[in-house]
Amino acid sequence: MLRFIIRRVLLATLTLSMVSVITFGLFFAIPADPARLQCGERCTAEQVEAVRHNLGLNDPIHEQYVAFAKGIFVGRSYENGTECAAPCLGLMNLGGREVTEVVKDAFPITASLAVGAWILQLTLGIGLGMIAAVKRGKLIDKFAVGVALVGAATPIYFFGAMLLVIFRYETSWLPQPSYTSPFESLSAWFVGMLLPWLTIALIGFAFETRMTRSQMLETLDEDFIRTSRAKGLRERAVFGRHALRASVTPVATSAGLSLAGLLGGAVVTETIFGLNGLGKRAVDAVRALELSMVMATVLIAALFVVVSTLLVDLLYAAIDPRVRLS
Amino acid sequence: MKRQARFVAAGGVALAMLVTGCAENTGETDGNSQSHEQRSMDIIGTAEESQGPATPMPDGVSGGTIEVIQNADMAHLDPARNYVSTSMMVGNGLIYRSLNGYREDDTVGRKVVGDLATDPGTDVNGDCTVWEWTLKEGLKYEDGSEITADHIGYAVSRSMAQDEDGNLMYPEGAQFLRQWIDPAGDYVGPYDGDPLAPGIEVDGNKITFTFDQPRCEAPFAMAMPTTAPIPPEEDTKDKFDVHPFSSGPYKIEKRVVSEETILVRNEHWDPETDPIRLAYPDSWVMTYGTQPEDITTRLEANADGDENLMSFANTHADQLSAIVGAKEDYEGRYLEGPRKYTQYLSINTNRVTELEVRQALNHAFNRERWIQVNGGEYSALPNTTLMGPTVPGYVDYDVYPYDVEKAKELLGGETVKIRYAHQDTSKNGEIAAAMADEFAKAGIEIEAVPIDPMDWYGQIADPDNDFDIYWNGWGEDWPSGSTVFPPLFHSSSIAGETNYPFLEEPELDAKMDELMTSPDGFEAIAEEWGKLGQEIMEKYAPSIPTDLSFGVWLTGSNIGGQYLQENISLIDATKLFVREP
Repeated sequence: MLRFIIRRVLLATLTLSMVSVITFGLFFAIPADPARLQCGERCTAEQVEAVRHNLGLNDPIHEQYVAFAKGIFVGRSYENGTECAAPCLGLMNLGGREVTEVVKDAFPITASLAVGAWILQLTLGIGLGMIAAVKRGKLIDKFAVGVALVGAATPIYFFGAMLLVIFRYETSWLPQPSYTSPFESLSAWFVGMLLPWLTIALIGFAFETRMTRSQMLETLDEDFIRTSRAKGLRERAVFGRHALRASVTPVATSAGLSLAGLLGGAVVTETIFGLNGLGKRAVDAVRALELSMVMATVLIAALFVVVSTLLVDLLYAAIDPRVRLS
Repeated sequence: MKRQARFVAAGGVALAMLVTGCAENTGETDGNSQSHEQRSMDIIGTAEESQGPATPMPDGVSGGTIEVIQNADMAHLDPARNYVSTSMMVGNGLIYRSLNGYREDDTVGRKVVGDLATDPGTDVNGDCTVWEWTLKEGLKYEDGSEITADHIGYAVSRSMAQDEDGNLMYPEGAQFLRQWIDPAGDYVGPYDGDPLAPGIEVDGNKITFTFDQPRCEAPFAMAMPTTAPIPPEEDTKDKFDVHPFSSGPYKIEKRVVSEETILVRNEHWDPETDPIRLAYPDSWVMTYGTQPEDITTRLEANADGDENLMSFANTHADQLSAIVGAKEDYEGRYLEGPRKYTQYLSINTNRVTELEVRQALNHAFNRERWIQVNGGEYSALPNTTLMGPTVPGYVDYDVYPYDVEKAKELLGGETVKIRYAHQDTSKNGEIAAAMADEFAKAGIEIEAVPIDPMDWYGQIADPDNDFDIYWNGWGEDWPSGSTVFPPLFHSSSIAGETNYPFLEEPELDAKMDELMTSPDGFEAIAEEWGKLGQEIMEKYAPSIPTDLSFGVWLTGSNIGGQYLQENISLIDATKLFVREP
């Protein structure tokens, strides 16, 4: 187990390094000039050059990369006297704020959105999938699968916008979606995130529904299920303790990756509802040519995928004793 | 009488009604030209007009909070770096005052007046080389300390600060004062040099500026944010951009860049000293990150809890016709009017070298079709002049009326190929395709070249670009041709700057240089600038003037005092109030 973890950590480090180099390189392939964008149309060439100097964009690309990478581990000192402690992800061009601080503000928004939507999505998906499997062939089975498919077929940007129109603009049943820290007000947090959660979950639960249903149907045909019934176990125990547990492994994999993807930033949902989470910050950073923010959001998203893959593999071994980590 | 501007379409032919002060003017169009009223030359205010309080808005009440939603945060709030319209409206309108400012209301019309100063300025020697201002009494910052003349001198000097490598520390702002005071760029700023730049003297509550040459438009330059006072002990350098020290009616209570800005009253601001700002609300809460189309959707919906909402953003183009078509439904929260920004298709004179071809392009340009594909009468007004009607001295002319046959004649019946660069968006692609159809009627074959919008200005400002025509817009920094023609057509503005046609005519340069430093006084100079635009079109035809931008804004239903401020061409934050706080 330890050897497995060490190997995976080393692989993760290599993966993240490559992602950072590729992202850095791609950024400088964009033809636009961040200094011109920051300075504005009316700036003279002299002014743009001064902005470029002040932003540190005159240094060779490889030096900029090394400074960025080094900053993550040992911090960074800037020419204007700003000290950025490790892990330093750089400074924003606009406002000079530390990217770490921006990420700290953005992450709770994305985490709230991701975790809440994920729980709702899994609850709906696994729950409906189980029901559909148990009631195979019945009307409720067809209904569950049908509803899931409708959700999956609906574009998220349309669905989110429709929820806003119905629940907010036309009826004022809900307040404008926004993020309030749950530590400030649990109710405001819940109500503010409800529409974004519903948007993601109602679109996304189809996959878990179908996967849970098909896995359970397969498992229900296994000999050990027949044995447990023969031993006199109630159906609830057969389904919940035995069939579901045996079926959940592939669902766990996809759920883990799904959470990782959401934690990296549900860009469309955050944009629809004006939530300044990691995903929206990433897109805004690309538009505004904020290199440090682009690097930070890409690396964080990659980190989530890498960590979640590792955790899912560990979870496999915990759930299914037949699985050996190697 | 409430000042407003309305645009009414009749029978497919656009009519413009521009109202200034209490005067009303009806313009007529033959489809491709537009007559506009000349703005008054009487634009420099008096000492009396520089006194507070500002003219109240009908039914204006104090109290409440206005909520502002924007897509992006303000570019810069540091007065030395503030050069973008929304930032200037918030910075100069709400947080800090300048030496001079613009008073726009039904009492005085539009005038540059003393803001911190007792009057717009005194030309000491009568030759515009030395200007003096006296500060009003009782001016205070947010901490109750006194605003003094040397703080203004420090702020202007600070705007010229250079680092040890000689780079400007605050390069993004307007550079007029630096160029007028220290054209050689020798002064390094107050951090490593003298606290006051050469040419700036302070004596008690008087501040004097001595310029390199006659600068008769100094009162306007002093209305730029650069002259907002900064006490040296409050100068936090880079951090000042995020949290400037308030000399205006509001101070910053909270600011998280790109997330939220909260302004609360500066209890030490005295409205009796302020001829410009009404500061009705108790506070402002600004949040960022809402998409432009969602801003319009939210404002239009006016759902519960959004009644105190507004935005500086224009109504989104995709929703414009629906909102304008139902404007009666938005009574009391709807504002429309022409903005100061003139738009052009610049012609690259390095590539389109023959005057006849540039003239033919002008004659072949169908302005009516251009307006139509750009969104119609509520997004743009047809314009045929290089300088817009918001500038005193404006002359209305149409040197090259729409005439396809004339265009063909100028081209000698030949076909000409033109590379038309446009921003790579679906809307601009449609516009390019429409104009290609129009130009084709005159034998002009358009090759549309899409350009990444993020790199737009970088590409069109390159004198070696391989495009023939491309869009650009402009708005004067202050109401004078000196902030229109030199940036757009002086040879010193080429090479990565704003002379997009790359016009290089020594005779024209000399004329502009002469006007910029003429000691003849504002009115005489303004008339000369007005005539110059027509001369430029006749002699060089470097651009195709296309339109004037038009603005439509919605607010929440509990907001009153909507007013279109002409100087920045935005909804005026200094006049807004909460109807029921």
